[in-house]
This record gives sequence, structure tokens and C-alpha cells, in this order.
Amino acid sequence: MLDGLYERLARTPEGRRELAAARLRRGALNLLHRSLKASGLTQAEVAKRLGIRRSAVNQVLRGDGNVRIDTLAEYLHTMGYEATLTLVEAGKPRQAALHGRAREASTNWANANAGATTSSVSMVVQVKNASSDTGTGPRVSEWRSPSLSPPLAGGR
Amino acid sequence: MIEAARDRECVERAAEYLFGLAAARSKRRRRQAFDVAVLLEEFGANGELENPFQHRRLDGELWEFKTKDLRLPYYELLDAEHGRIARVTHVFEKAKGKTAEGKTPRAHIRRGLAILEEDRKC
Repeated sequence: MLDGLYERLARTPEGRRELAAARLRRGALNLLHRSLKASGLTQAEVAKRLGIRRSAVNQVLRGDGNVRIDTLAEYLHTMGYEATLTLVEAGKPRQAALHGRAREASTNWANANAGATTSSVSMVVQVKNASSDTGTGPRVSEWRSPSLSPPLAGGR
Repeated sequence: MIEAARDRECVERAAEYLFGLAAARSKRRRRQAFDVAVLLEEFGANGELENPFQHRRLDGELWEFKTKDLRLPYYELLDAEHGRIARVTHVFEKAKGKTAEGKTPRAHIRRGLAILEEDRKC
């Protein structure tokens, strides 16, 4: 069962640390895609606003999310958003995901218990609409999850 | 729920590959396993992925998860007890080179479809 992959990787402190890093990369990448969709901009338009090639934007969007903080902020702001970081106790994101709240977990654990009891913590990203200082971009409440699920196959 | 499909020898090729990655000496390869683990976690929890570039239909019932370096063809079952089950047929590294950009080699699609059929019999 592939659900056991995570547990196998999380057996060691190094593994748990790497998983936290992978989760943060994933969170950053998801934010970029969410803001692109919400802004209604095309990759070409984002590239034009940033003064870079479209292929560079495409490379970031198809990457693993391991972008510089500056780059993330510039992309998000160009699309009308900005991100803040929230500190949560290590392991909380996994618990949230196991309870079927991975989307919420990957973007906003503002309601989670942020009182870390160890020195090992995870940082997560929370995206906010930057329209207040740009006058552009949709409201946060306008975001909708993309429906990408494949049709279900027949029962077994 | 996400599981590995079984081929005609009842071997879970995807699990074999991913657990191999997890134990790899190379940090780059281990990192691929970490990226897959959090991708599968998101899909398992939400039943979908937020990033449209990481999920697409290949052929018929065969779909594909994509990370930066890896491709994971899969199909879905509906089980009365567990609900939706995504069964990953196998894992392979994405094709390199400009001409292969974004394309899944036909051989891997055929392999995925073959394992899909074998998995149903196994």
C-alpha cells in the first residue's frame, strides 16, 4: 500500500525534516497555481508583468516549488496576492492531512495550535489578496478549488 | 486511498520503485520520494490535486500523477468498503529532451494499461 510510503520516510528525524521541506515546497507551488487561477491571468501575462520570458514562468509553475522567497513574493504580487508564513508544531500538517484537510493544511493552519513544544517546527504559507495596495485581483472568497478528479471506474 | 497495482506476477511495481527511492543513497533520488509522498498525501486527503500540471488523463481509464521528475500512471476503483481507490500501475522518470517535453512515452502508457488489466485479475 502506497499510503505506507510516508510512514516509511518519516521513520527517521532526517526523513521527517525532508518531508516538512517537501510539504512547504508543495505549499508554495500550490499557492502559485491558486493565485494564477484566481487572478485569471495567463502565464504570458504574468511573464510580461514580471519582465521575463514565458518559458521562465512555465518552468516555475512546472517545477517542484523550490523557489526563492523573493521569487514567490514577486510572482504572487504580480498576480494580486501576497503570502504570509505561519508557524505550526512539527507533525500537525500530517495530522491535518490524515483527517482529510490537506488543502486547508497546505495553505492555512491559522487555527491550528501554534504553540510548538519542541524546537522542530514547520512553516506554512498563507496567501492573502494584495488588491488593497494594487487595486487589482479578485477577493480571497472568490477562490474555488479546481475540479480535476477523474471519473470513477467501475466497482470491483 | 492510494495503493500500488499488481502486475501479472502479483508484484507491486510502483511500491517497489518508490520504496527503492526512499532507500536510495542519492539525496536527489530520495527527494523524489519525498515529493511523491506529499503529492499522494494531498490526493489521498482531497481526492484531487490543486496543481493542474501534476495530474492528467493518459488514455481511457489511465491517469497520471506528475512530479518534477517522476510520472505515476494510475487508475481508479470504487470499493464499497474504502470508497475511491487510486491504484498506481508503475513509476518512471520523465523523458528528457525538448522533443519529449510534456509527452508520456507510448510504451509507458501501454505498460500502464497492461498492468491495469493484470491488476484486475490478480
